Amino acid sequence: MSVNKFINELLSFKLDTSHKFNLPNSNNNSTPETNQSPEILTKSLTKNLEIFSSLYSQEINSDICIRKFILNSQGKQYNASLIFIDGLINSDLINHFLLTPLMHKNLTNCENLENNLTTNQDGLNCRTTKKTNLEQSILDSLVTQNSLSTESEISEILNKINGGFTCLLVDTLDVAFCVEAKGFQTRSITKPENEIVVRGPQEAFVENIRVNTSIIRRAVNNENLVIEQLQIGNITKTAVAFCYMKNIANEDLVNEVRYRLNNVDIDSLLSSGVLEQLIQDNSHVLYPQMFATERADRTCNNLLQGRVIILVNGSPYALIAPAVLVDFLSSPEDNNIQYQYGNLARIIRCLAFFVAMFLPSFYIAITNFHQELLPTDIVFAIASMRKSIPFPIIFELLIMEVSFELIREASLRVPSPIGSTIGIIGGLILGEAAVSANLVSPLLIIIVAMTGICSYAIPDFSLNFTIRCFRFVYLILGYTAGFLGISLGIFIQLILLSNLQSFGVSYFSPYIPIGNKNADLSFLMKPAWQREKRSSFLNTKRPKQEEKISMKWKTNKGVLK
Amino acid sequence: MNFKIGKFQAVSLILIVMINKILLNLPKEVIKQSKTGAPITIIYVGILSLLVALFISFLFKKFPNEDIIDISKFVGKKPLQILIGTVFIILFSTIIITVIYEFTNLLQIIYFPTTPIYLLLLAFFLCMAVANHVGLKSILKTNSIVVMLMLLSLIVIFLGTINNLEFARIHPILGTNLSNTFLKGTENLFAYSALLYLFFLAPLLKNKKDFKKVALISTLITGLFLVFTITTLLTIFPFITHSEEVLSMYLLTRCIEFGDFLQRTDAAFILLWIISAFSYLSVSLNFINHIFGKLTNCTESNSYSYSFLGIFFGLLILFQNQSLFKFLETTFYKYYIWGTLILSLLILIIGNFKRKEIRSR
Repeated sequence: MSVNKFINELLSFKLDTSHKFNLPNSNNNSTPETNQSPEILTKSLTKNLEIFSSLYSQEINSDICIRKFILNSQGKQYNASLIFIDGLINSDLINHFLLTPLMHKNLTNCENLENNLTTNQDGLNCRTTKKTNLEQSILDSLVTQNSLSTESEISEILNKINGGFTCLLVDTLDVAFCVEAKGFQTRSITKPENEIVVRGPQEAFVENIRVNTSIIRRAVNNENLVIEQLQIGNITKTAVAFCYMKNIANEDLVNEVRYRLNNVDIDSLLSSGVLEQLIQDNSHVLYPQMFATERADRTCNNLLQGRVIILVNGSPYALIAPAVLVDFLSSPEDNNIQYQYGNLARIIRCLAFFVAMFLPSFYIAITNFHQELLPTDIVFAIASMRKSIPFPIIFELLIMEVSFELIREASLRVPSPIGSTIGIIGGLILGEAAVSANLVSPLLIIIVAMTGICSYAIPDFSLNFTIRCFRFVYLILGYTAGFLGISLGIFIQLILLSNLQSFGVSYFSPYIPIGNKNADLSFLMKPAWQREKRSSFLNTKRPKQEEKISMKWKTNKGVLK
Repeated sequence: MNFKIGKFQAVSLILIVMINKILLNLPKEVIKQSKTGAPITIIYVGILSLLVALFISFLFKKFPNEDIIDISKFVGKKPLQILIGTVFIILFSTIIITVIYEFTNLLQIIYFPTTPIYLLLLAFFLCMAVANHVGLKSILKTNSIVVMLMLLSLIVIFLGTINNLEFARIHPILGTNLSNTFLKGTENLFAYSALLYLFFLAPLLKNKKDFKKVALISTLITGLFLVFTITTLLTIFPFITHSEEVLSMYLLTRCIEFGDFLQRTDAAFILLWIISAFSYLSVSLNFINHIFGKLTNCTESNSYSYSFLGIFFGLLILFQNQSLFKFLETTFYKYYIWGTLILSLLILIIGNFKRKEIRSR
């Protein structure tokens, strides 16, 4: 040790800046699950407030507000308190329509003594006193709010407060008045960002479930629309609504959805994606079994077809059940354009589905095992292109596919202003530079680019993921055994998909088993006037959705109204 | 089997058998026997098969929810049930073994000359195991997709080879002599061996009245495609020699030309054929399970289906003898089908009489 170092260590003071923290493995600090607080309110306001203060850890919780005041009713004064969460309530509403009528002495809350003077049998004037009912008085004449309920169970009151309600506790009363005075900032209804269409409504769901239900109700505009609501999540108690047309949707389907939703036992539910995974038929199959949409028009269209819509508070996506394979290849745009254009687009998407899934595997199978499929000139061209490539074809293909997936993933994560940079870097480096460096052949770039473009043509995000996963599986199968391997993969996939059901409906419906291929639910659409029937696989209460001759004006059978 | 199928799936079930028989040298066998009279023979035998199909559907009217195994129990109690069950198990086992052998042989010759045969066999057994694990309902759904693709592929083959047809080769159209074409030609009824699956169809059908329709439609389509295939083969190749190792349909696909780009599309057809073979094998294995379950009162079909797969795998590994499989595929299969058909029809007839007698009492 040098002398300088020794002196420094001896005389100087060094602050130890390193802070180390290790989370202990043992659960010594875990709090007991059992809640010791009483289940219902008492008549003592002080006790009640103590309970809520303790439950909400009010001393350290910054947004929990307890406003104490004196309540005037029928000439008497009572201690009272309002409990609410700052940020979830509308202060103006509380000030003007809750605190003002409750605190001020006025005609409403003071007893009019003159009115109580009556003459008795002996001709003497005397004052009659009505039996005071404070609870009724508050309900009837003091709180000037339209949405008001009384609760005595503490758990229910907590739910209400957490949901943005304001609770009024009054001394001598063992009930709480829960007033809806919500007022929190929400995103306004905007254009759909992930399901863009040229024609058709430009209205997308938002995070607030009530706004979403109002959009649906406004569009459907019928009394047969039922929106049932329940809560999922032991901690979050997330509001979940499922909507159906009671005169169209199959009763068994509705019951099944209700049954599954009621039997989800989890602590928290924060998005519709999690709920989808919790209620789908088979969680091990890669294919999506419910489809999620942010578009209100698409949701309403499916609702009117007899499907059930599930909305989750906090999620701007509606889940639609049941869903079949062809649904994932259709776009909301299809209904808004001429059926011929719609069908052309669907055929192209179907082609894109197969190309995106099989093109790389076919390439590898053909180049490794079945070269005779290609004309000799092309085989020679491929061979000359690959002449200077040092890697085997599978390695070359895997490099490109993985790079492509990386670019895709990276471009999703980066902020939008530099998103295009990723594309340029990817295009330049992986395209030009990789070919120049003799790392990959130009044909492979074409194959991977084609696969990528086709995968973007798939309208559904979840199906896109499925294709991406299976592409790698088929790649390995094609490399291992050529067409034999691919056949094996296709057969097993077909068998597994044939076994798959979405809420009791075969995934290959309406084709396998053969059903009614009318209506716009089958892959190829008929003209709008010919979509007379709803799809038979939904087994709806109203199989017909339009009259045999829907364009009555054309047959001169129209009625002048 | 606790599910029902519609008309389309039932017809597909019969057709998958026919399609695989067409792929596996059945047309070559018919041509070998009837020479240029093969198309006439197959039409004539087709009419006979149609009558047999109608007869079977008539006999099943009294047994709408029973298959041949149940009826044999009704007729001759457990011993007869075991007998007929064993007969069918042997038949389906022969089908499985010969189909796998033919396909693996074809694949090894064409694409995998250096790959050990057991690896190719494993691909087939893996598919059968997965399919049986999932169940017959899914197999039949898949089957209906595969059949559509296969029929389409057969049509493409006919259209693709249309330029190579030489109708002069079909003469003399009635064959070498009438006896060969019509009398001996009756032996070719085995070409319609798919009819045997009708004996198991009745309890599967959603609508029992569809049995007759299914029998008729499937026999007609089978006949139509057999006639097309045989005629195409006869008019393209001067004579298909018995010594040819690869499948005659494969040879046909090598004649297909779609412009300059697609000159050799045979590999693409092989892809479809393999899927079709997987489907056919899975159906047959499931029927074996079904029969075995009925004979032994076992309910867990998965447990013994793997045992069957093990036995077949062992047999295929042990007996890599081409002449043995040729014997199984042609001579044994041809006469065994005759025997099975006659035995099953006899049981059905006796069953009908017995039921009539019981009802009259």
